[in-house]
Amino acid sequence: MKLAALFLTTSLVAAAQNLSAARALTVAINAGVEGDGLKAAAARYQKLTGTEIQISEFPYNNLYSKILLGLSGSPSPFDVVMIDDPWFPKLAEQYLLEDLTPYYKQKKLDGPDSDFVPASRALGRFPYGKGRLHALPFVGNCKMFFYRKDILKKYGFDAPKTWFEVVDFSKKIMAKEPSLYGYAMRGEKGNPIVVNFLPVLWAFGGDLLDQDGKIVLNSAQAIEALKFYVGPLKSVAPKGVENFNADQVASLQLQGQLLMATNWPAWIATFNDPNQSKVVGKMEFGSLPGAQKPGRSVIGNWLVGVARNSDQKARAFEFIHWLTGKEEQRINALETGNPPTRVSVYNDKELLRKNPHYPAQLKALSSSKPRPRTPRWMEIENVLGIHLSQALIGQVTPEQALGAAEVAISQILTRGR
Amino acid sequence: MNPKTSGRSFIWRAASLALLAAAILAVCFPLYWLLITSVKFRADQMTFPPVWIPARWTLGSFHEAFVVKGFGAYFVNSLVYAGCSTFLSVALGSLAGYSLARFKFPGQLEPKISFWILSTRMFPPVVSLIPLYFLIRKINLLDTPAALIALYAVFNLPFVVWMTRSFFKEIPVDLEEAAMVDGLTRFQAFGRVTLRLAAPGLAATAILCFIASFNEFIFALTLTTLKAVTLPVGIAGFVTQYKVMWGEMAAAGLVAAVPVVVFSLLAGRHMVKGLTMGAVKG
Amino acid sequence: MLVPSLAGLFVVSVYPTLFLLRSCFYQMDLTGLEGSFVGLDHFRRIASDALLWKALANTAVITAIAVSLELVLGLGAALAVHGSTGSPRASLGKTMFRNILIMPMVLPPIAVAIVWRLMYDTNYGVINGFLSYFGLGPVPWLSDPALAVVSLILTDAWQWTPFMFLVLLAGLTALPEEPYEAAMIDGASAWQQFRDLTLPLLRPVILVAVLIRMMDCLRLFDTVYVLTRGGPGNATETISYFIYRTAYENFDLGYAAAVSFLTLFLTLFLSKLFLMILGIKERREPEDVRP
Repeated sequence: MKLAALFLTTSLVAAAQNLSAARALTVAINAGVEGDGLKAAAARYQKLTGTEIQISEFPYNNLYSKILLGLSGSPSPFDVVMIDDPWFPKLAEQYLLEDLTPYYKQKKLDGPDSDFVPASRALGRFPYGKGRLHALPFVGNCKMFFYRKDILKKYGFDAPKTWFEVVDFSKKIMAKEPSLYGYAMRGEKGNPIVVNFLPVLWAFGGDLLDQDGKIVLNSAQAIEALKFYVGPLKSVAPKGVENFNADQVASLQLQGQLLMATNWPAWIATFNDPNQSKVVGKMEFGSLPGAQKPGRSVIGNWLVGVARNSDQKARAFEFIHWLTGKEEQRINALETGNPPTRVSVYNDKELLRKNPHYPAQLKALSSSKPRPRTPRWMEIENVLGIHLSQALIGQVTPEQALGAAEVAISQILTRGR
Repeated sequence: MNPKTSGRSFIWRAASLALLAAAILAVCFPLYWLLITSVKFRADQMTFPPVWIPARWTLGSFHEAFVVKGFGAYFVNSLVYAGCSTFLSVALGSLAGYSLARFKFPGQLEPKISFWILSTRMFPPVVSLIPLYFLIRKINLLDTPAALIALYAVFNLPFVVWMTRSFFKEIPVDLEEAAMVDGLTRFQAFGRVTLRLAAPGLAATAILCFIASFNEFIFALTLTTLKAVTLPVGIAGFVTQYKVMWGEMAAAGLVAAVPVVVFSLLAGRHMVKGLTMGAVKG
Repeated sequence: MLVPSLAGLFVVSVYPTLFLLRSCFYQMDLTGLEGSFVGLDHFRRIASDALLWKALANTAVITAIAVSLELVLGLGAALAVHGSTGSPRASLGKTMFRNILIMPMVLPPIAVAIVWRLMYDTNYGVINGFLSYFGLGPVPWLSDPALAVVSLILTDAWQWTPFMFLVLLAGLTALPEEPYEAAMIDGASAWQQFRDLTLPLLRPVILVAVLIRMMDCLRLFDTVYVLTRGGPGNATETISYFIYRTAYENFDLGYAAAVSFLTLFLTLFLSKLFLMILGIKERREPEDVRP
């Protein structure tokens, strides 16, 4: 009895709190620089329009499950959510995000304008590129190649064009500079190693899923790519890469101990900050190396969408429409260094002066490739991440790892709901 | 001198003292490192060689965690949940413990009930995670204090029942009967005599309940989203996609340690009995 | 008076069991309850799931090594402290020692795991920093599959050896003195006293302590979540982490339920053992306190 009474009173209190909070827009963001960008933007929006915005911040590792579970509740605890693009197909497939086209229609527009980088804009539709519009691109992340141009130059090298050159240059330089490491992968199981390995896989001519969504992972090219990844490439990596995430990779490079790495452009601002970086002015940020095929970056945009179960969808749309607009994208890029998703912002004079790497970044973004646009991606990534990690620590051979991953992934793809 | 130890040489005693000193060092060093990391600048947190004693100090990590990130609210949440659930489980559990210790049950029912209650303690939490998640979602209590308070209270029940049952058994029933002869009701006798005698044990039991609830992680992680987040969940969240915020984590971890350490020192001697569900007396 | 407690416990034990019993046969998503009936599919999958069996093996290995290590260290420290009693000064020292030792085990496991992760870091951790003074390392504590298991065990041992120590010390203190006096008259050595008297007399206490620690180790989650997330590969994935990952990272609810059910079954066996031992103790208690 007492317990039931407690339940009742406490839930009543909670319900009352919910009601009073309903005036504000609730936005779920990730804890990190992209989320910080949105937070700052929300403050500006509040000043501009008077719309109160409540921010809920989640660590990246929990954000997806919190969003998925939140959006499937009714009413959704969030009105606007920030989505890493590989999560999007699942949310869109289950119709947890509002279809945005009617809102554009109300504004007498067909949809998002053509100033958005096409590769970014395509992410917000399900099926990919042509289906329903459920989200807008907010941060134009794609993997870039971070390297020490001063040291490469000292030894007479240009930026490596292939992964083989990465290893070759590293070996030659490491022989002369014992305190330096050549390349550091993000080797931690799960998302880090998958995203880090994909460009190598693609450069070697391998892939995960084909056009029809059928698995093609276990190919000769893929085995060759993984052999290269856990063999020559790991041989120029620092000790401990097996559990490195972006934090460890960037720390080493910021301390001046690492020649080359692939990382998100969000880090570039940190590299230019003398308080945190010992390599200010010594870095260059370019496109990814290739191999048999030209290098292609992995796109990793942050999208923003409106919860279908929100009770203030129109206001939520107004906010994200403003958030991804030209002026706001420019201010966000200036203040937080977050990569924009609009071509015009990449060509902005003031930004170009501050970010000489912008043309390279736009090129990388435009030619980038998304992770497979399947609603089952998170499960695939989870299991693939374990098998790749097992290969990296040498517990299984590349053949075994890819074989086991192919079996597990095809099971995921055929398994019913 | 203790007869069990005489005959052991001076060397033996010196060796055991050295061993104890090493043990104290091993126990204290990580605590020192937690403390020192929370007051270091980020540049001094991750360096090679390590900064053993920082030359410069900052409270920046505390500011970032508790002012900027709002960990104060998580801390309050944790304290409130642990406090409320402890109150509930001690209140309900000691009633159950008392009835098991005192009342006549038909047949062998009493030990059966007692052991069933104890056996629920063995239920691995992760196993009930999914069913309870759905249950709580169904009754719309996700991300509410009520859900965690109720769960923690129930999780601690077997422990409280089992402990109080043994306390009450140790108190002679004659005392209560004597009080009832003096004109007190059974309930008054329970309150004025039995409860008073069992008070130190009850307090220690409550402290252990508090610690268990305060430290709980996996349910708080999966059942909360925004408002009901607890301190351990908040701390784990400092591992962001790009950066691991060591200083902030250490600062929050240190603050999280304060109530549990204080309470455990209060419980002192009773800890052992409590930690072994009364199987070993401290 | 019993009813509220029993009802509450029913909700957290019997209800989950029934729920799992049903879910085992369904394919479900975390977003909704509706699922499709898949019969014994999940159990077939369990049989061939190498990652699951590795998680079970990891749990068993970590539990076995961690508990043994804690027992040996805890017993050693308990004997050492017990041996140094006598003077009032020593007993004050003992109280202080106990208070220091209590700290690790009451700290939130999350906070403990964070300090250790910081100390284990391959390039900037304090442990490798210390080793480097002797020209050793760097040791890849958390990135080598075998060392990651060792690191996890060391962290667990740091937090829980004090528990073993306190329990065993309490047991030692409660031992009767007469047998030792007799042994001394017979001229038994310290080792003989330990082997023939202390160990057998202490056995019930040791058993209780070991069983409690085993139950805890089987639930190991918080430390894994912060230190390794089950990696590298799946070298440190415990059964708890496996279930969490399946349910909350893969949203594969039906399968997670089936694995939970299996886990429940396995722990049931251990709890029976535990209850048996407590039951033996219970029966020894004098009956006259009961009305």
